[in-house]
Amino acid sequence: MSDDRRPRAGVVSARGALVLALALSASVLALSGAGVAGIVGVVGVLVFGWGVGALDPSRTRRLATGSVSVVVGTAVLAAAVALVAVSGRFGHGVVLAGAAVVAVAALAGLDGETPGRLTRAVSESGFVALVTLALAVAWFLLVGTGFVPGLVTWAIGGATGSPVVAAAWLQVAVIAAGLAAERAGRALESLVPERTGPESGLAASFRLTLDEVPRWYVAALTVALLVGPSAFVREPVASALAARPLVGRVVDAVLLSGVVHAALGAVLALSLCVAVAPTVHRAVVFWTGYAPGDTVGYAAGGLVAAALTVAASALAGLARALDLSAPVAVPSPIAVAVTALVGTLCALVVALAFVRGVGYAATLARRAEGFAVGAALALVGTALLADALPTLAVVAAAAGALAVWDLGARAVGFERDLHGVAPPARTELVHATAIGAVLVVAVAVAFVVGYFAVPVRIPDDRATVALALVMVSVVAFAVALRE
Amino acid sequence: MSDARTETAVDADERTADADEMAPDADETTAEVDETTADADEVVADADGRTAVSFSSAASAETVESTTGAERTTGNVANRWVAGVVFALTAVALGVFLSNTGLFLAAVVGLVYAAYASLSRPPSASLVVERRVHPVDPDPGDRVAVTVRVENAGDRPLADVRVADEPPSVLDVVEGDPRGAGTIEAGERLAVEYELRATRGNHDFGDVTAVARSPGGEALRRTTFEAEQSFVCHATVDSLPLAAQTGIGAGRVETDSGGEGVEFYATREYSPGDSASRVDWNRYASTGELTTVTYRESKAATVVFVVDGRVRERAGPGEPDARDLCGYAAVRLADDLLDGGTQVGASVLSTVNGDWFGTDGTLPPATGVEQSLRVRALVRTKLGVTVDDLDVTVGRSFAAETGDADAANRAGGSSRLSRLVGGRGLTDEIPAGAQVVFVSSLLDDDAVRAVERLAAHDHVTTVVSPDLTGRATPGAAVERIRRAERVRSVTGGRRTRVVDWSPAEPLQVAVDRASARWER
Repeated sequence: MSDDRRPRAGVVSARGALVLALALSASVLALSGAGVAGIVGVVGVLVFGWGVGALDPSRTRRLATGSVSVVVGTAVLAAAVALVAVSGRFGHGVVLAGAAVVAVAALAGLDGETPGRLTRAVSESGFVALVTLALAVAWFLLVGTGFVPGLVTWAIGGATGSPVVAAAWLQVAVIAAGLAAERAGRALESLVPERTGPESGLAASFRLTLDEVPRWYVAALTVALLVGPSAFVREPVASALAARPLVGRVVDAVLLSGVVHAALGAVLALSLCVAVAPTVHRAVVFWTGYAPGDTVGYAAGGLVAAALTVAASALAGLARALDLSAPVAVPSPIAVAVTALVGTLCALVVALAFVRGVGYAATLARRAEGFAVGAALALVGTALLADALPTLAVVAAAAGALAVWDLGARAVGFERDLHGVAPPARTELVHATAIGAVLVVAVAVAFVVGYFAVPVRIPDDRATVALALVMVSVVAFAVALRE
Repeated sequence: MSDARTETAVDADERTADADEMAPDADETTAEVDETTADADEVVADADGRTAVSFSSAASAETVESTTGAERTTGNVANRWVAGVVFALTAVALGVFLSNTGLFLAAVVGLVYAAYASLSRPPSASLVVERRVHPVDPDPGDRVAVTVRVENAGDRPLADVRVADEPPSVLDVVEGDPRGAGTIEAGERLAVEYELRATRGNHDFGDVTAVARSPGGEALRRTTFEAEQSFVCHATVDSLPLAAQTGIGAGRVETDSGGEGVEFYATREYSPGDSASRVDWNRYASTGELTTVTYRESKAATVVFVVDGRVRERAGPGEPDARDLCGYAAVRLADDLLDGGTQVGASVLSTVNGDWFGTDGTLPPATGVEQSLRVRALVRTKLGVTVDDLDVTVGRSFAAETGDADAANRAGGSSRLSRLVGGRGLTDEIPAGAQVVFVSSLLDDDAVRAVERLAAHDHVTTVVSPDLTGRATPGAAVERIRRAERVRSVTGGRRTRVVDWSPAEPLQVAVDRASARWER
C-alpha cells in the first residue's frame, strides 16, 4: 500500500493526538509562566495546521481560505514566539513547535503533496507581498516625500507664467490628452474586442493621432513656447490685455489660474492609466498562468496581508495627519507597510522551511511521520522547562508526548492500510481507551514511585553512574524477559 | 447455489506473515491448502492444465469462500516495545543530566508502556472470508457489485480488523472502496462493499488480506486469502445481416426468389403439377384464372471468417492490439451466425507476398457449439487471442483440427495438423459460393487487395474493421486518413460491405449502423 496520502482529519486517532498535543502545550506553557503565549500559540498552531490541510487545488474557495489561514496562522504563531521570547525560555518555543508539527501532521500530513502546496502558497503570497512592498516604497518615494506634488505645482506654475505661454501649454495639453485618449480607446478595444456599444461622439472627436497634427501647427507651438516668455512678446500682450479689461479677466480665469491645465492634466493621467491597462492585464495573465483560480487561491493569503498592510498604513497616516494622541508614537505609513510586509515574508519563509525540515525529519521516523517529531519536540520542550514545572506535571507531559506518538502512529497506520477509508469511531476508541488507561496507570505508578523515592538526591558523579546502571539493568532485564 | 453437476475443490491457500502493514511480506509465510467443497456449475481446463472454477447461483452471483487453516503468526510488538524502552532511557538520561526528578520518574511511564506492548498477544486466527460478485456476466459498462464479508468465527471479539480486497487492476471502482475496517464481535461479520465498472475482457480478482489487531494495536495477525476469482465481460452480437449469396438447402437468408417459405412473395400462372393447396382460389372465383401462390425462399448460407493476423499495432500503450480486436470480433460474429444455424468456417490470413495470400490454419464450414469452440481455439493458437466465455471443455477433435497442439497433446490425440495448417492460398480455403467476413484493421493496402481478391472470386465479402488509428500525433492523423481512404475504396465495391468499428463502442452498434446502408 502506498503511503502518499495524508491522514484524514476524520480519523479519531489523529484528532485525539492533536487535541492531546495542544492541551499538553497549553498546560506546559501555562504552568511555566507563559499562559498568554500558550493560548496565542495554540490558536496559531490550529489555524496554521488547518490552513495547510486546506490547500486543496480541487476546491478553489477552500484553497483560498487555506492560504489566508496559513498567513494568519503564521502571523499568530510569530506573535506567540515573540511573546515567549520575552521570557527567554527556549523550551517554550520548542513545545509550540512540537504542537505545530502535530497539527500539520494531523490536519494535512507531512508527506505527499503537502510541502509542494505549502511552497506554492508561500511563493504566491510572498510574490503578492513583494509587489505590494515595491508599490508602497514607490508611493513613499514619489508621493510621501512630496516629489510628485511639488513637480505638479512647479509644472502648473511654469505653464501659467504668461498668457502666451499658458495658451501654448494649454494647446499642448489638449493635444497630449487627445493622443492619450486615442491610446486609451485602443486599449479598451483590445480589452473588450467585441464591444458593440456606440462610441460617444465627444470622445470620438477628442481622440487624436500624431499624424493628424499638422507640422506647421507643431512648429508654431514650438515657436510660441520659445518666444512666449521673452519680454519682446510678453509686454505687448500684457499691455494689449490691460487695454481690454474684460478680455484680461477672461484670460486670467482661463489661462493663468491653472484650472484648465489641471483638468487636462487629470484627463491625461486617466487616459494614460487606461492606456497601460493592457500591459497590466498581460502581466496579470502571465502571473496567473494556466490556472488563474488556483494561482489567486494560493495568493489569497498574500492579498489579505497586503490589504491589511495598506489599511494599517492608511490608519497610521490618518493618525499622523490628525495628530492623534497615542500612548506610543505612531509610526509612519511607510514604516508600517515595510515592517508588516517584510515580517510577513520572513515569517512565511520560516514556516515553509520549518515544515520542509520537519517533513525531512519525519522521513526518518518512518512509521509515525510528523507525530514522532512532534512528540519528540514536546518531550524535549518539557525537559527544557522541567525546572519550572511541578514533578507530576513533568511526568504527565512526558506521558502525553508518548500518547501523541502512539495515537499518531495509529492514525498513520490506518491511512496506510485503508487509503482514506475512515474506520468506525468505535474501532479507534478501543485503542485510544486502551492506551489512555495504560498511560494513566503508568503515571500513577510513577507518582507512587516518586512518593516513596523522592527526594532522590544525586550528590556526586558516582550516584549518577549508579542510577544510569540501575536503569540499564532494568532495561536489560526487560529485554531478557521478552526474549 | 444451484444444482451442481460437478463438484470441485477450491484452493483456499492462506498465508500469514509477520508485518505491520497489509502489504505482503515474504519473510514468514506458511502455506496450507484447505480444501473446501463448493458447488460449481462448470469446470474449464485452461491451456496449462490448471483448474479454474466458475460458480453460479440462482441469484446469478458468484461466490468463493476461503477458510483459514492452521497458521504461524508473530505479532508486531517489537516496535512499540522498543519505543517504550527508548523513551525510558531518554527520560532517565534527561533526568540525570538535568537533575530533575520529574524527568527521571517519567522513565517509569516508558517502562510501563513497554511492558504493556510486550505483553500483548496477537488475536486468535478465526477469520473466514467470503467474496460475492454480482452479476457474473456483466455487459460492458455495467456495474458489478462486489461484497467481501469477513466473519469472526472465534469466540472472542476482534477489536480492530482491517480488510483489503484486490479488484481487477484494469477496472475502476465507481462506488465504495475495496478496503474497510471495523470491530467484529464473535460470530458477526464485517462487510466491505464496492462496485466496479465492467469493461470488455476477462478480469481476475486478487487476494483478500485481513489484518486483526489486539485492542492496544501492538500485536496483529495478518492473513492473506488466495481467493482468485474472475469474470468475463463481453457484449454479444445479436444479428449480422447476411448478403444474398446462398447455397442449397433452407436457411436464414431470405432470397429474392419465390418458392417454399412462409412469407408471401408473388403469384404466377398455374403449372400442371402445382399443389392444389397453393392455388389462389379467390382469384379463380373472381376472374376464372388459375394462379399459384409462391413464397419467399429462405436459403442457407455458408460464411467463412478470414481473420487478418498479420498486424499487431495497437491504438496506445495498454490498449488491445489489432489481433485482439480482430479475433474478438470474429468470435462474436461467428457465435451469432452459428446460433442461427449458419455454416461457419474460419481462416487466418498470415502472409501476403505479392499476389499470394497465405493462410495459417483453417476451419472447414460447420455448425454447432463445437464449431464455436473451434473458432476460439483457432484464434487462440494462431493469433494468441483468448476469448474464454464458454464453459465447455475443449476436446481433442477440434484442438487437432485447429492446430492447438497443446490441447491436442493434452487430449492425447493424433495430429491432423498437416492437412489443414499453412501453405495454402486464401481463396483455396473458401468453398465456392460462400460469403466471406474479412476481419481486418485495414492498416495496409494488402488488406484491400485481399478484399478485392475475394470479391473477384465471387465471394460476397463483409469487411469488419476495428479502427486502431488516432489523432494524438501527426503520424496517427495521417494513418487515420489513409485508413479512411481504404475503407472508402472497399465500400465502393459491388460485392463488398464494410462495418467500420470503433472499439470504443459495442460491435453490435457498428453492425447496426453499417447494415442500415446495405442493400440486400
